[in-house]
Amino acid sequence: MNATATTMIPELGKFVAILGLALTTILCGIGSSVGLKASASAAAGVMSEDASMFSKVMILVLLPATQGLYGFVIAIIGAGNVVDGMTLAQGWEVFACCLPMMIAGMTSAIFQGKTSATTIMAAGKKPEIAGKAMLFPAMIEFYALLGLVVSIILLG
Amino acid sequence: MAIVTMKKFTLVALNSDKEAILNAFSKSKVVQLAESAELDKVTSKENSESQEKLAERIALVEDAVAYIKEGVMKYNASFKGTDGYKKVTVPKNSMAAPKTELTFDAFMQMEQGQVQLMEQVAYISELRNQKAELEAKLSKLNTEIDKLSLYRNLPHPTTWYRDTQNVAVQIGSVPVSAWDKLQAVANDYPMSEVSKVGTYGGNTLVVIVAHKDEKQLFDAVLPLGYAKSNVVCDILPSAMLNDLTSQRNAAKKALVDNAKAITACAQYIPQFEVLLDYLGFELKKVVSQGNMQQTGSTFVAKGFFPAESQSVVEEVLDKITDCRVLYVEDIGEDEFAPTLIRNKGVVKNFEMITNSYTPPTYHEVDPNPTMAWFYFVIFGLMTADIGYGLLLCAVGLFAKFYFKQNSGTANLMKMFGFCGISAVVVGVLFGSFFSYELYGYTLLNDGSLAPKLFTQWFGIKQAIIPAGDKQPMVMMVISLYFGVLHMIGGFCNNAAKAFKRGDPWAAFLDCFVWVVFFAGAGLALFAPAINFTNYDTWVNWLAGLQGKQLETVQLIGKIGLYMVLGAVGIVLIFGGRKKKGLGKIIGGLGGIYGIINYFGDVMSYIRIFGLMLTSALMGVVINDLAAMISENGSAFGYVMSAVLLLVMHLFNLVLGLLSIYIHNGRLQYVEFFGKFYEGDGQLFTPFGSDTKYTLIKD
Repeated sequence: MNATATTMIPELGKFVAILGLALTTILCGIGSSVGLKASASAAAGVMSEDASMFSKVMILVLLPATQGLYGFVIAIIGAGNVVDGMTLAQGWEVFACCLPMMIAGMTSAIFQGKTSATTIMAAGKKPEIAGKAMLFPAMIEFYALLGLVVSIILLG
Repeated sequence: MAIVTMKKFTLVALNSDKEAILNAFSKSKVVQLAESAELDKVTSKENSESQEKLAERIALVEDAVAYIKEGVMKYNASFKGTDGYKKVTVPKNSMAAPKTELTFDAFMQMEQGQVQLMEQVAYISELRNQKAELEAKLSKLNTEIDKLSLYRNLPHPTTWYRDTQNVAVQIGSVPVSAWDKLQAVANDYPMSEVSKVGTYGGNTLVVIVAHKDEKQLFDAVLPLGYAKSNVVCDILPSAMLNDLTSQRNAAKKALVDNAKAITACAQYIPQFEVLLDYLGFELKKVVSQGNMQQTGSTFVAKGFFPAESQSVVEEVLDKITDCRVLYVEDIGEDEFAPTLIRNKGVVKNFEMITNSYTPPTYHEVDPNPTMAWFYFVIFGLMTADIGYGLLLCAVGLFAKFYFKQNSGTANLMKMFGFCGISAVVVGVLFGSFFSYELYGYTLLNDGSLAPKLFTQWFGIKQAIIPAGDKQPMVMMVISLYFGVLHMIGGFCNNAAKAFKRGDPWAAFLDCFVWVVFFAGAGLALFAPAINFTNYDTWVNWLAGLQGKQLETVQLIGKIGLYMVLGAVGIVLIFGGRKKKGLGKIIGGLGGIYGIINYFGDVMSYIRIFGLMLTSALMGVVINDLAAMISENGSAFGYVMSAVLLLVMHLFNLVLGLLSIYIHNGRLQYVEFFGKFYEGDGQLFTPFGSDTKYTLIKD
């Protein structure tokens, strides 16, 4: 049965691999977008009170933007592993390699965005704590970095 | 030590000299007065009144400045493209020198200058009221004109349409569409007449004349939407309209004049800003006077100054009066004093990293000199590109020569520029120039291999450190090893702190023991780490060792292991030495448990590898894209790929910088500072130096 399925769709392995790479880019992108929406809205609110806060909140706004890039990088690196005539197992292997980045990237971006937003509001009330408060959302970023590193090592 | 020794002082002098002394302190810029939190507050009613007065004046000027700026913006937006329009700009200092430079005496001339400027503020407030009145008038006129426009063609004043003995006369309006129906209804009443006067805004003005026996007509037309006019105008409506229109035009013109008058005030903004600083300074003086204890004719001021400036302070006071007592003391062990950090050269630019976290307290060891070098190297490892490094150096050089005044932006740019050097050095090790590889060989069309630039220059076949995307484990191991080094730096700082405190036992047993532990672990894991990298060159080198060299490597491993065991032993035995009974054992075990946390700290350094990898891979992708675009060899392709390279590499660099700023900072704040740093100090701010718009230079 399985053999029939693979002969019917000879490029199924390649398809699964590409699906994994595409999903990594898409999901990390979604995560970053959701995260950025939260952080950017908070920053806009803070700036409506005091426009000079721009440089202080800018870094915080952009924190959840990196996961989207990580996803993109994984897709590009993984593209080298996609070859014609891959078996289905090989395809799933590439897919599995993408999982750390895909899941850690998306979730961390969303949560980081929320934390960034709160931090931005705190910095708006007390600008002097902006430097310290930056640490909190940056802590979440670490897990995206771990996902990235593991995915790269697995793909390499 | 880079934290300057301070002295605290108590000054007793005559009230009559108070103003002169405060001004002289401000001019000298070496004195910080103690704030109310450190003193018993004795503010008098009179003092609070003058504080309120000054605060009110500041609010007025701030309001005026904001109003002018808003006025200029609105003027530029709504008059653009009209006749005689000239863009109005608010005078602003250049980015290089954002503050207006003044001598202290020139600054103090504001005392006289403020009268004229406050008149100007009053004039602006008058303009503001005038504008509000004109707008209200305009809106009223608009409503009236709108209401009367339907009557423009009425040949007589509305009051002229009156009932006679046998005839009823009405003027009113119906919707334009209902006019035909109205006529049809009127046809049923032979002794009546309807006539159309004019239309405006979807309504038709009609005059209905009906014999008194046919008054029902007025009721019959109501369902058509007929409404009897309630406008009373005893002159010809068209004449009235003309009058109102000319009034409206006059109001509009007055509004334009008003807008122009406001924009004309923009030229005073620099003076207003100096005034704001002056008033702020005066307020500060009043507040600090409120904090001082007083008698009928003397006052007591308390504060701090750097020990080296004592002669300056005495000289300043001598010039004013000899009728004073200055009592100077050293800062006690647990006493508060503001922190004045002084570092030489490039380290100065790194102070902002520490300060944006929390400045050191007066009694602490200044973390900046050690932190700066670790920051520098980590920055290099994270960027790891010759091209990006050179670009940053250029930015730094630009900042060095462009900025004339000290500012956060200038410092940051200089710091990035300096860190660019580190990026170039690491970039050379990797052989990466805007992510193009500089080591190795290029395969030519004829099948031969041409050495790349660095291979040709240095005669090495491959990069000294292989790129992260090819041999990921190598860079990971390097990152972790560097993390260990960084943490050892933190423990050394902690040991120095304990020494300074006069507790050498703590320095050895709580701090130095971890230095031994981590150094030992680093040595013990040397050979396994090389095998872990999976990097042929290194693994083969290790495997090929024989005789003395092999013995050395094995010895290193053994020494490392003994160091680790020794350190663990010391922690177990002495970890709980300050506790009693069972606590002694538990304390030691707790110390060992700390190793797990430290392991987590070391793992955190993987971010160095992660960031380096993202930036490098993005670079490779950008280069590949550019190569794809210019593949067909057309001029357009080359231009497009050049633009793409420029824009995307800049984007990659900026985004990389952002991540580096955050993650390098985090490694310093949590992993490094966490080992020894307390912070929460208060930076030394000389009295009268915190002006927002002016820079007082003497």
